[in-house]
Amino acid sequence: MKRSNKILCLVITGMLLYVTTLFLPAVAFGASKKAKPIRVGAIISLTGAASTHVEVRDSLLLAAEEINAGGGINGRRIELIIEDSKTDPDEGVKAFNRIEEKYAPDFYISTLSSVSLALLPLAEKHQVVLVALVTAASEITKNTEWVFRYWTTAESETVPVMSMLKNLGVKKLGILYLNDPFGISVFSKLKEEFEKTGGEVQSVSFEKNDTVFSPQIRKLAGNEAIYTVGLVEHTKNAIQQLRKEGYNGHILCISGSIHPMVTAQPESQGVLLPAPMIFNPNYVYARDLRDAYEKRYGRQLTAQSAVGYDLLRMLASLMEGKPIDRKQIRQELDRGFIYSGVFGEINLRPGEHDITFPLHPVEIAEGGGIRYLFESGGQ
Amino acid sequence: MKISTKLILAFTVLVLMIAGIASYSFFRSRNALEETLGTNSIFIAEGYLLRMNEALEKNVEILQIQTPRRVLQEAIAASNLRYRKLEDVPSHMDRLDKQWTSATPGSTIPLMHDILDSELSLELKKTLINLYEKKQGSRQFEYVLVTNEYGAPVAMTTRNPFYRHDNEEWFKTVKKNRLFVGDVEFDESFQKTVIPVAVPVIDDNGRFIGAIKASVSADGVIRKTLLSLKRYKTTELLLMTTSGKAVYSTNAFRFHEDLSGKPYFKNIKGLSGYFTVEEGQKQRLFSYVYSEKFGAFISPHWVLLVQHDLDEVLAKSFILRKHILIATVIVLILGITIAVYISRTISKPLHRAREIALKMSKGDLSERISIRTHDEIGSLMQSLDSMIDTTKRMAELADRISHGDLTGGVQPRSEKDVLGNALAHMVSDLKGQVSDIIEGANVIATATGEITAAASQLVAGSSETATSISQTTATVEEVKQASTVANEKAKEVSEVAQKSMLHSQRGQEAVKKVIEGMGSIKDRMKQLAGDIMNLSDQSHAIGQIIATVNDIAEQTNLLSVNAAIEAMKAGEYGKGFSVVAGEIKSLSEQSKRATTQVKTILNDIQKAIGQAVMATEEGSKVIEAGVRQSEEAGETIEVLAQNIVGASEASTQIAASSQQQLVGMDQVALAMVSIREASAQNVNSTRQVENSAKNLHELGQRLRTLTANYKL
Repeated sequence: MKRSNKILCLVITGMLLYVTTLFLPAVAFGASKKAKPIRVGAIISLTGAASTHVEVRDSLLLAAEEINAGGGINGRRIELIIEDSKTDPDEGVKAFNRIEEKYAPDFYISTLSSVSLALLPLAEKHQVVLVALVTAASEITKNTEWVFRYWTTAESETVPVMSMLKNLGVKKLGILYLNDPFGISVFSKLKEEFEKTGGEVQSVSFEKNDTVFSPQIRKLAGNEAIYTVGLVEHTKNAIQQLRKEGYNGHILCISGSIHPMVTAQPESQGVLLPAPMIFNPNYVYARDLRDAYEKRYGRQLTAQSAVGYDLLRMLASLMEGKPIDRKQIRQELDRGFIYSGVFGEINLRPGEHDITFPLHPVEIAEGGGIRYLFESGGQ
Repeated sequence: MKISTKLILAFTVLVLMIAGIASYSFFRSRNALEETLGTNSIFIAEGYLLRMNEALEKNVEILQIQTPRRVLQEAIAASNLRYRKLEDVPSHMDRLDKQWTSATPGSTIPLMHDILDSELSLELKKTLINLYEKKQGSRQFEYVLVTNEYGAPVAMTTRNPFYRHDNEEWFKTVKKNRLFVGDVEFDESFQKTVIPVAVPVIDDNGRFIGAIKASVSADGVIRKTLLSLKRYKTTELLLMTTSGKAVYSTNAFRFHEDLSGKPYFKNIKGLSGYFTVEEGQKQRLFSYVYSEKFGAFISPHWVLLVQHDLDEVLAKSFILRKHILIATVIVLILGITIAVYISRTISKPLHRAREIALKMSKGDLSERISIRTHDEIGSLMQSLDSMIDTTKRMAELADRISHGDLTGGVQPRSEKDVLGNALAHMVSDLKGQVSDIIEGANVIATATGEITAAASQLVAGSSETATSISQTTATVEEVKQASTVANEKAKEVSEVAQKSMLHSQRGQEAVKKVIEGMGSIKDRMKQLAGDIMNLSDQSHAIGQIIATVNDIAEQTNLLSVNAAIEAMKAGEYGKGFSVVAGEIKSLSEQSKRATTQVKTILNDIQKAIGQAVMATEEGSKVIEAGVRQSEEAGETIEVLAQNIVGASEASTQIAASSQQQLVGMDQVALAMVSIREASAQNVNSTRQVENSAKNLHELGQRLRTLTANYKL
């Protein structure tokens, strides 16, 4: 190589080094964002009778994206490992074992009472936090160390329902409930509370795969009000058939039934149920999520989608600045906390395992709208 | 160093300087930006506090607006009237407080019913709680309590844990006609953080008659403030006491958790400020403000900490840095490209000029310069092009001269045109010299033609001679080969003759030995014949003896018979003799049989002897004939041996003659080869002479042709 070319090469090399040095902090900053991800196993009913839980998955994905865009938790990205429980506890158990064997995630999320109850012993065995969403069965958080719930409980469902029944002056109540841990739990609690007030309860159950409820409805037709406890699909069919059978009393249903599948059908007009405040268009705390969710998925925000999103944001907020492992996550949850999220300020008391949000009495209005019954007193 | 390298280096240095200035400006501006953002974040924190103060003030105002309402005034007045009639108000209140607090949780006693279901309670619930819930989607007030001037409840929106409030701090404050804003507290009834506020209720005369206390939702004051003023997505608020106890956060938090050990708390110095802290892999910008300077509604014991992710805050700065980096790289690339382009526009024509000059120095004038620019390089190239033109014209002239065209005249361009003057002189001289050469060439051409013809004839003669010699040489060679064969055959014959002579001598000796053997056989045969005759005689004598023995045997036999007869006659005494006679008889018979057998054998011997005698006689005859024939053969072989000796001597002589002949033929063949080679050399020489003559002739012709090209 000629001397002049050598000099040229040296100068260009020096120049590149110089420019690299100038902007090295920017390069180093980008490179530092590659820590081990925080893995979250999510066992969700994506198919089957509770397939509306797809919305939980979607909102989890949305939250994970937002958190990761902001640098993750302590600089660690969230990686969701999602499996379909097919609304079947056995499938849920298989999914848990698959995820555990392959990924050993930092914590788990599940949906549906029956599936979550099946996963409960696995979470205890593997000593990993399982947060059950859209799960109202009372047993889910009883005598457990590692299982938490973020949803309404049978008890929290009962309070606004009792308030509505009281305002309506109902003395004879018919309960149509799903014959599974969730349905039985809610039915039992309401029956207990209602009977305490001197009311009379008549109840009939149905099975998970039932679609025809006319025989049960006929049995309950003599009551002043009928309360239905089931999955969204069950509630939708039950309301349709109540109207078809010409039932003239009050129809009430569980909070999880606030879903376009139910609210959009004309037969649902006038149905009463408890609901979180997120459906109030003036409610500012869910405004950002509502906009982002509807923009991303083209669907209305539901309680299922809100709870998935809020859980991940809540845990991200709780674990920020702390070491993240299975034990530490449980310790942080055990210590309790206050969090202002989509559902407003919520509180988990130390040692408790149920994170609930306030419910307010609402009525399904014409055209599928939700009308909050503030005059009833709320919570 | 090349011009292009110098130029690129110059540009590079220039660009580096620009990049250096840019990066320096960037880092300086980043520091300034961070400082500005830090200061700004303090303003943001102050803004939040101001807004929180305003929100609280607004809530207090809402309560104050309620105080002159008739329904409220009347309810309080009625309650006060009832209490004034009481003799012992404290005891009454104690009693009712006990009833209140001892009620089962969740149940409602009549005392509670009276208050909770009062017209004022329902009115307050509707206007202060449900209205805002409906309007804002969340509650402004979680709870409202109205007391009379004694601190006893007149109305409440939700069941309160206590009946009596006269000993509470807030009541004591408002009783002095002052507003009350308490610290953030966690309300177990609602499971929410609230800020207690209270206002006095005064009548138309300005007298304190009661109080309104409300729990303002901390969410409604603090979180809504954040939402309304949120600058960055990552902005979070933390409200804590000056001792570091958390009272509210927009992040997950624990009420009254001690945060004084946190890194950010240690950076809080003075009433306001900002700092950055690295947490995990994130850098956060914190700003803080003490609340003591913010009006009457904000607790003086709070510190508001506002945090933002520095990544987001400095996102624009990072984008700017990225843009500067990209711009620097682009400028570098452009700078180098321009440097390369300019250096090429200078160095390329110069390089081209150098190439053409080099070619010109080697006499190649075929290249032309196509670069046409209007700068100094262009002028240089045009001058060079003009020089090529002039040189080319001179070269063409030289070319014409080289082709013999001396007709054109050379016009020198000036007196200093050295080349032009020299060419003109050269042309003039050449014209005279070429005329002389033409004449000489014509003479040479004629003479060489004649020499060529003579040489051709000589070549033809030499060739014929050489052909004849070659044929003769071939013939001699054939004869030589025949002689060689004959010589070899003569040698073979001589050798065979010598061998035959030896064999004939051995044959003579063998025949002599045969004749001697035959004589010896003849003698033995005579002796054998005599022996056989003696044997024959002796066999006859044996025959006679055997006849005698036979007679004896017969007589013996007869004697034995007689003896037997006699023995028989002798009777008993002759019995022994009879036995002997029997034995004798037997012996005689045996002798008789033996003689018979001997006689038979003897006859056979005699016959054999007879045959032997005859054979001996015939053998003797044959041997005699053999002897004779042997003698004849010996004589013949002797004659043959003599002939062979003669033939051997003759063949030896032939072989010697043949050898001499062969030697002579070799000498002849060698001589012929020498003649042939000499003849061939002769032919070649004559051909060379012929070729030289032809070349000379062609040279003469070419010289003539060349001189013919000259145009004089």
